[in-house]
Amino acid sequence: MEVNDLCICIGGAVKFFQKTHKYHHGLVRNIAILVLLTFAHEAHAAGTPAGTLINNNATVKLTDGNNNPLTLNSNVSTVRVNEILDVQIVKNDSTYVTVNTPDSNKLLSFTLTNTGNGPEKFILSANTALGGDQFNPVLIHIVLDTNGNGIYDAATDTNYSSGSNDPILNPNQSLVVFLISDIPAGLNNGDLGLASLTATAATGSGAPGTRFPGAGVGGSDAIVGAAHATATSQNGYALAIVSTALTKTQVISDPFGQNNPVVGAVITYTLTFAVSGTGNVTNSLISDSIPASTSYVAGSLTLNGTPLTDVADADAGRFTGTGIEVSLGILTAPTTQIVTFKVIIN
Amino acid sequence: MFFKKHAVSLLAGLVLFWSCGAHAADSLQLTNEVFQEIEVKAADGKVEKKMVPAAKVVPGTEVLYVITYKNVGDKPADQVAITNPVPKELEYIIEPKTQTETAPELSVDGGKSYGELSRLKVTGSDGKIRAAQASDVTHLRWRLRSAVKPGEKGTVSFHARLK
Repeated sequence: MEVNDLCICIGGAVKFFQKTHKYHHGLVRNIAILVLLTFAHEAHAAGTPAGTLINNNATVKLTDGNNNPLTLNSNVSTVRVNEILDVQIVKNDSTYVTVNTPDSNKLLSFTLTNTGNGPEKFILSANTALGGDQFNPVLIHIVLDTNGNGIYDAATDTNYSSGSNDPILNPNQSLVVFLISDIPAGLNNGDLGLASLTATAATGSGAPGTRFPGAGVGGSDAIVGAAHATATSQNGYALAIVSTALTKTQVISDPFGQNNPVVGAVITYTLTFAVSGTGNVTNSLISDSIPASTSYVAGSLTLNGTPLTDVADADAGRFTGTGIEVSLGILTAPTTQIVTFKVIIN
Repeated sequence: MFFKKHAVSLLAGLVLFWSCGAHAADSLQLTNEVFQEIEVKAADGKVEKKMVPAAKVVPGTEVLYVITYKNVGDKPADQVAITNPVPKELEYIIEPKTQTETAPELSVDGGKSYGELSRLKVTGSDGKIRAAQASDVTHLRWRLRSAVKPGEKGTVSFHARLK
């Protein structure tokens, strides 16, 4: 810094300070709000890694008594970043997982995230004896998604064993964890079995702000974060039992306006396919053969009142030459599908 | 006095050769301390806020850096300008209670230039130039209006929050 420049600067500096003063007054409120928002945001982020050493030193430039420029440094102050212990668990299944009764090896998927700022070991536990449901799933394993693909791979993913393979996660690192349960027999459609997964920081948990001196990374203190360093997420298994019933009725209409099964009488068959309960039925196909001594009435096939052509084409039905077929594909309960066709008595 | 200077320099891990020489008697002594505010519960249950040295802090904590200058020589120090970088793990907080005497000039370009924050601009992550914010501040500079007389002592300070 040139001495001549500095002489001008000093005068200028006074002006500058006055301006700054005004400026600050105008902004005080906005700044206060900004700071609060920033803090709220920081509570969820991992923040500066635990154990980081923040060094700072000041420098002074001056003109000494002999009119020589001089630069001096201060000492270095050091702040160590403490470790925040925190964890988050979210369920990955958007709805209850549908199961049958009995059923086996049914998965619930969760994602565990280290929301602290240091590497941390987490202790996992599951609870399948929760209230507010109709049955208790039978826990088989807690499984760690070891290969990190988010999908349960029986051959690769590791069964969790508390105290032996507790997962260690870096700040912001996530791990998918599966609960695998069996479902008891004898349950009813719609029954619910809840299950939860809990993860707790191994270093410690409890009220936010609880301090574990020296237990953090690099000799820092470990401090429980806003989420108590423990987290639980819950989901459940819902019984989805589909029942189907097919009924057949007939109406005879003879040429004399009566209902007698005489030659020339037309029989209208009605096939009613009812799907009840919860869930889907797939590949449903209704077929019926034309009775002996009768002939199919061409063009008489209908599905839910809509005529179907006899040829095999884009519509759902056809006449095979010996009977009728109507392909219903995937049906979601509850639904009722009605197929009708006519035959004439020879 | 010589020994004291030595001790300070060594503590700082800085070897300031000329501070041991002819200029030593003319120099300012500069110390840098960092504090945090804690709540202390008194015997009567009353909670008081107290500033204590910040050795360990958690992310989100506001800290106060206090830089003390003292003329330990026998001649005045003139055109004194104290600079301090904002450590990258910290975010500068504009001081609401501005003291005219010690308000710093701000830099958002690593200390190349200084000015009022409202007049400073930075290139955002999207490549566009935008108005600078407190979080963009990289360096602070305090230019003292008058010479520091022998024996005179003063402080400048700033608040910052650990990211």
